[in-house]
Amino acid sequence: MKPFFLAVWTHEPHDPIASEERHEKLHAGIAGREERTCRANVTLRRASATVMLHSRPVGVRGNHQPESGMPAHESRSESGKSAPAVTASSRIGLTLFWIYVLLYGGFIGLVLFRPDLLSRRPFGGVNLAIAYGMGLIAGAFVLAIIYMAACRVVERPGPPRT
Amino acid sequence: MLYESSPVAIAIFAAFVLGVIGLSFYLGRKGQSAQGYYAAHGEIHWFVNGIAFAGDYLSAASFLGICGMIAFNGYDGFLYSIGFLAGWIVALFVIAEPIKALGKFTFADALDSRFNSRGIKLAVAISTLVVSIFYLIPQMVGAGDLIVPLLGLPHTIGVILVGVAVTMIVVTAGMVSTTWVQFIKGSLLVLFCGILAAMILNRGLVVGSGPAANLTPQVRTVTRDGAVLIDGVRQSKDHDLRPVGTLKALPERYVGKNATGPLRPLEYLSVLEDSTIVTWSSTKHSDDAGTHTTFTPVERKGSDLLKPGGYFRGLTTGKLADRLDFASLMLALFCGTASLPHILIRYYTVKDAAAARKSTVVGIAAIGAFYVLTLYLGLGAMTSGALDPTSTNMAAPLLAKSFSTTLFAIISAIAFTTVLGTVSGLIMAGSGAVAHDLVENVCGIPLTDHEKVRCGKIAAVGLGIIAMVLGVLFRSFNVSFLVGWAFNIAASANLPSLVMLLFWPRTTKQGIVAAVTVGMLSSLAWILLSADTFEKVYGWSREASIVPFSQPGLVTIPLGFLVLVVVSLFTPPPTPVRRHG
Repeated sequence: MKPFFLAVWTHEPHDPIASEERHEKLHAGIAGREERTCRANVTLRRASATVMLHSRPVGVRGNHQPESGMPAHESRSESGKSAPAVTASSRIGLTLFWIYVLLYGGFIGLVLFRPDLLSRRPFGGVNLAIAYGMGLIAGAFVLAIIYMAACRVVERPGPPRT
Repeated sequence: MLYESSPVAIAIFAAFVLGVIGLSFYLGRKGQSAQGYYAAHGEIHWFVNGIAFAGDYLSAASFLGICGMIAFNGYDGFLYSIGFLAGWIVALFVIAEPIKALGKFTFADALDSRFNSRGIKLAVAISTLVVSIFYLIPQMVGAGDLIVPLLGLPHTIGVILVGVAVTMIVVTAGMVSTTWVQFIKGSLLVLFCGILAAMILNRGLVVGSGPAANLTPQVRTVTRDGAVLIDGVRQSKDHDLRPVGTLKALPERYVGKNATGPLRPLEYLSVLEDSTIVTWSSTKHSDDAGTHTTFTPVERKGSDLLKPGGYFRGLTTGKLADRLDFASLMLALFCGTASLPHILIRYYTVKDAAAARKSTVVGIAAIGAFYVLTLYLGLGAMTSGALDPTSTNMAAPLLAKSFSTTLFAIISAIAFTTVLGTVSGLIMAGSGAVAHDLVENVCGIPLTDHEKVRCGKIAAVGLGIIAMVLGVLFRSFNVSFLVGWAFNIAASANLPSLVMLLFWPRTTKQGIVAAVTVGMLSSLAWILLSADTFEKVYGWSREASIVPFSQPGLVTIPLGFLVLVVVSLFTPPPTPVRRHG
């Protein structure tokens, strides 16, 4: 099979938004009314499902695009991620960010206000300045791993929606 | 100093560079086919993508600039390593997910997606252009500093060579930075710097001998008619500046010995801390005979060099301006990574969010490991006896040269191809901003595809020329210092708008335009009026500068936020947020 390009058109909503009930039903799980109406208006789910339905027999693999909101089909992690999960991983990110800000700020504070402490050698070998600096580098790596693991937990797909 | 070229080194260098460029074209062409297309989008393994992150991010500025700064000023160069890496935290934890939720890949698209405003497009295009140019300067300076010890040509010629080569590549074919090329570059950079660091540890610390151990001050004079004199005699192969950078005395426990032998990583640092090292400082003065730069040796205790204060002197003396300068730098570096337009794109070109995060972890690990290595490279250069007192940027290549010509050639080649990749990427992005955003969208001049390509090529040539001129004007700066300035401008122009757009619904488009414009202009003006620019670019006196310290971030980043908030509150609120999909 040759590669091909397929454009799937969906609706771009603008005020005032009014959606068909059959489309709103597809998004019954969404909490906010405006969000629900907007998603229903975009009709992305219907359009994508139609493409999938007709491409399956032809044997075309689903294309992985990093747009959130692709329907539950090939990319499970995208589909399983509804609005609450997106907020959850952002929230984890922000928490870890503030932790790092404390660590980074602590380093800056020491340099500005207690530089004498940086000459001390807490581990007998290297001084605190180097140890703290290396610690910030390693800390970034550790936090990134924590972030990856924590997001995997919150993004475990929930029960399937219609 | 004058350098002699070595044919072997040049041969290895040329083979390497041509090899990588050839590979890049080959893989780029392959990527145009269907198979290659699918390979690029979604089927690249997260590990490969992670190393490619490192290949993207680590410019020669990290390698040359940070090593050089550590070699001459001690710990303060390491501050750049810490700051550059810490910036990933902001990019990954604060910006990446929300931008993805907007369904956009770059902050420029994200800023515009909500408002679709010509004002925003203009402000962002200009800001991108300014940041790109400032990011280009250290690459050109660094490229010149790589050419000098390799080919023995003056810096200006090196910059012109690079500028012409890159502009030709961009205009004729465009250097395609596929993921695989960045993976190769990233892994080679980390690998060979690891080898060099291992060689440093294996050599251990050695008390200086030879020309570098001569502690007589040296004077380099540039006469009115451009001749160069060393200690009053015309510079030549036989009469030149002596290399510098030595260990004067080992700690007491090594009494009677001249060398420590191989050392473990932490041991190296602790022995260095207890040693005495000779660094070199310089002062300039001008008279009728010309401009004289006097290089004087300064004996320092290792413990003084391995803590902050080598460059930011005020951290030890308590001078307020230096302390604000330091805080400003750390803030700008922290905020800068997320504000660079090209950084986050790779985050989105993977299969899914889980793969994106895994690849970022790998990227941070590789970049972090590299920055730890730069500490050893810088300290190794500090005591190598091979430093050129006129250039901090050449410290790393000269260090490699002191071990082996082959290693020197290979590392120079890797650094050079990294520079080529970064420069061509920046020129392409900049010319795209001109052709697509400025001419077509803002000026409203419609272009056919053919005209768009031609406009882009003309812009590329223009940018290449600007880059070359600035690369020559800024040649006496340490390159990571220059990158730090680019980070300052990016953070001041872009971060306030990006953060407020994502987290404050009351942000209006006028607020964004104002914040981007004010942030960019204020940081740019600050930099152009700073003491360093006065002294090294215009040739004026440092004291004439009106800004109190050199890093604008501490002032201009909050200013950006303030302007955005005030202007947004004074303009009509935007229509309610609608997220698509």
